[in-house]
Amino acid sequence: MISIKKKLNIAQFQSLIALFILCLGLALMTDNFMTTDNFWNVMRQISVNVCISVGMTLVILTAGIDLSVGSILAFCGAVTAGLLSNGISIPALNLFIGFTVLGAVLAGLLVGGGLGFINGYAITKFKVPPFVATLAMLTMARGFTMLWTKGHPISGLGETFGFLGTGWFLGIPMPVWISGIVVVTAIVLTGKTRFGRYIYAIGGNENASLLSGIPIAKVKMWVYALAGILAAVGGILVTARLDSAQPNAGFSYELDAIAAVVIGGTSLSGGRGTILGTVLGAIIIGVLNNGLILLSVSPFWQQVIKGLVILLAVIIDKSNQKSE
Amino acid sequence: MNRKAIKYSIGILVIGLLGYNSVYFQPLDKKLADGNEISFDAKAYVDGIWSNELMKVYKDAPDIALLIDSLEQNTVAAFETYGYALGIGNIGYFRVQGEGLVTAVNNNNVLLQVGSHVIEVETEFVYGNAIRDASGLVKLNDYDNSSDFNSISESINEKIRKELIPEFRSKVKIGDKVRFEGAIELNKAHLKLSQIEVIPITLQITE
Repeated sequence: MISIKKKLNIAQFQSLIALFILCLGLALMTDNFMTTDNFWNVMRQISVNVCISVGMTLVILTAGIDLSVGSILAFCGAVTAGLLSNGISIPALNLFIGFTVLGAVLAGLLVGGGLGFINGYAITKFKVPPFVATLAMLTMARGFTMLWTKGHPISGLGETFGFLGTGWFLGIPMPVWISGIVVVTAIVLTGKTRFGRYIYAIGGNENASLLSGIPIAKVKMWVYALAGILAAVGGILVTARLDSAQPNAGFSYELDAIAAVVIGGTSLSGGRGTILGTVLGAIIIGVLNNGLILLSVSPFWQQVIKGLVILLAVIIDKSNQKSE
Repeated sequence: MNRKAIKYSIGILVIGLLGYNSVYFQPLDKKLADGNEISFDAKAYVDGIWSNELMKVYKDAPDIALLIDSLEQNTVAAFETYGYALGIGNIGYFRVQGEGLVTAVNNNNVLLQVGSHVIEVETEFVYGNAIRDASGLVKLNDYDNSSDFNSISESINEKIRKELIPEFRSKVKIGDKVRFEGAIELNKAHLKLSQIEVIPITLQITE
């Protein structure tokens, strides 16, 4: 027990215990929770939140916030679906540009990265507070989605694309593989690279980082661009899973992502937290959502309970900080 | 060759390979001639079915007062008999017709008194799929993609907004008698019959 405790920080350890108690309680109270089907169902559902939350963790580690991930998710999903379904016609050049699944997915990721980069640029170059800059992007990206889709879903995207959201590989659902790759990459990025150390340093003390010669603007722009790319990954997964890009997809997903990050022990003031903690946070939210549905709790109460859990997590985090 | 040159060469190669496998180009006229989805002209399609098909099915629409009575007596049976639904769910679309007295001319709608019922005829927010889906003429499976399918509704609604509403709005006043045909959208689980919203396809001031 002590060696596990050494490896994980206090918050992660508490998250792990909370997850264990939650699972134990649900296993005792419901018949369907401890089944293989439900396990993969929960894992598939949390995959999207894991992708967004990992990006959100990077942003919060730099003491920022990104409220636009839900809208970026919707827009990137719509762009991918639209290009795959309709391509681009340029009548003036008598040219039709068709997109393969790879091309549409890359375009979606590129758009996500671009919108994230704009967030980062506004924050670093124009000194717009992250809350305001990403709030503006939240509205703009939602508007772009409505313009692109004309308010209608785009569906019928084909089996190859659908495989990304509904397929299985080596007995594991594809969304779980994809979110797993995202998590491992982010763990390596934050723990083993100079870029990762810069992220922690900027969040810990921005002035000291500046004096140490860390390229703060460049790092922050990349962080927001990465958050955009990961939101796009989430958008592609949602679209592939539903075989349809919904104009209102990703609504309030940013809140679930922030909740996962906070529950996972990442400090909202930056500089402290881990990707693993965020994954635990996302799993707790996913299990909680699933459990509340299995227990037939009213959707209105579900929101209240989720809110209380987030509040509790922040209170525990604050008391941990004091004791440290 | 130094390390930087190797790095850039590999980068360009990867981008080239990804690009090659990502997009394909075709002359637009050939694509249109192939009868592919981008050749679908929703406006022309709607113009084509407007008089001979769409108007015809709406001429046979049930009377709105009778429909409301049926819905009140047995909702499920009324949905099955008169309603159209795209898939599984509680939403149903209904063709309706009737005649009523104008009691209010608002910015967004005109209120009609039809028997004991108040009917709201939409004149501003003519959106959605009610006219298309209530007609029963257009099926999702007949189209290669949802974009084409959705564009039919857009064209129908645009035609109503441009060709029907302006003339009606310029003439209608309180006390007029108005005959209408149109479509309504109802939710089986949350049936609200107190003020039904009709998307019109014909509007005629009779007195």
